[in-house]
Amino acid sequence: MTDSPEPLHESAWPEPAAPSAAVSAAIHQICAGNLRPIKSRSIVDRIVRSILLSGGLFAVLLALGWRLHPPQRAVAVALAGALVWGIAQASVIIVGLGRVPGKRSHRFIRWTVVFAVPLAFFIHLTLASEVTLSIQDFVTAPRSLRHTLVCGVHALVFGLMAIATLFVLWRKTDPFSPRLSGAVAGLAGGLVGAVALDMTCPHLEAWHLWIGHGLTLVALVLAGWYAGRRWLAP
Amino acid sequence: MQTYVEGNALAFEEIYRRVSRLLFAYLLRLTRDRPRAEDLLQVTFVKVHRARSSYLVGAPLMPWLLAIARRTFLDERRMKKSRYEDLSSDGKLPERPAAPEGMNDDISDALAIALDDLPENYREAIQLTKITGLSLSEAADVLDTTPTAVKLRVHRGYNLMRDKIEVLRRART
Repeated sequence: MTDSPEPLHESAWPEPAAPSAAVSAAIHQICAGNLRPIKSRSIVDRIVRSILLSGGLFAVLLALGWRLHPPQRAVAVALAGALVWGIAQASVIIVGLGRVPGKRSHRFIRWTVVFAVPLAFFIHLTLASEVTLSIQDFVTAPRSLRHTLVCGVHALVFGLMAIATLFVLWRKTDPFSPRLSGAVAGLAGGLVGAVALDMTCPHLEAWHLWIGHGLTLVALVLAGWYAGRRWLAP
Repeated sequence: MQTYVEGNALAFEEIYRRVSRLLFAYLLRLTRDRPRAEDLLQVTFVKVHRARSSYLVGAPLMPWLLAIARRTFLDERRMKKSRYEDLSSDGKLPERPAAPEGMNDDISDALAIALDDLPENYREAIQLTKITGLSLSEAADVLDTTPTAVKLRVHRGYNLMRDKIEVLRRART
């Protein structure tokens, strides 16, 4: 880049042409004819609702899961884990979605969130695992595969429920980078399902955790990325 | 915008008066085809109308509208899979469209031709920053890229435009 004076800066740029009168009339007819007041939600309102709804869903899933499988570790430790991931999930919503589009550029931070949080979740899963089978033993043991499939389906279903609420709340709000916003919503929703399942699942084998719990989160981020363009862009 | 969301038709009139020319010029620059640009302008305003309740209070209006216009253009192009230089029915390349209104002096004419000849990403960056008047960071948001990338595109576009204008000047003399 150069700082030398640029002669084109001073040039007489062409005046913008106006659309035809017929087109203007048609647009006015559609947009201003029979105009009704509509309630619009503020960004804070959307953030609060997003956190309350996904947090509520997370609490319900956790309670249901603990009724079926009481926590193996101390309840206080399990609750602390749930709280930490709940805070992480709320942070994803605030940092990733809670911004006024076009006002500030949080592009880099949002991309970092989309990559760093799933990575942190995989690290958490690795640390939480108590045993690591060889991949051959894992694949050939029918019980662990079935259990992984069941966990994966549950995480996907719960995650999709959370994503659906987030997509409804943030629908058509981001014409700038809807795919990235979709990925953030996918991550926030995916965390609800994946973490709730992680806190209740009694199976602590590493491959099971990575595939059944971790990969579903990645899948939901990708699903959000693809759905974002359709749902989050006006 | 908030007044428009609350159902005030006069607010829409005001928005339209302020932004329609800039939006149309942007779409015209993207499509290089007036009827197509007018169609896209209508679709853009229909989308704005439908999404007015989703407008986040405090977001700058012009970048928001331009981003919707750009998405509308990209969607339409993807759907039709059309190219800019479609052959006409007789199999020949179409003529360059006539210069838009207000472009009757030599400098403006040469600028418009040079701008039209630029690659799409340079053309868009210059259109948004120099003609529409967005800041680098606003243009970066509309183009879904970084302010540095926009600055670079404008700079490279200027270099190409300068060469083109020089060629035009020599041809005229």
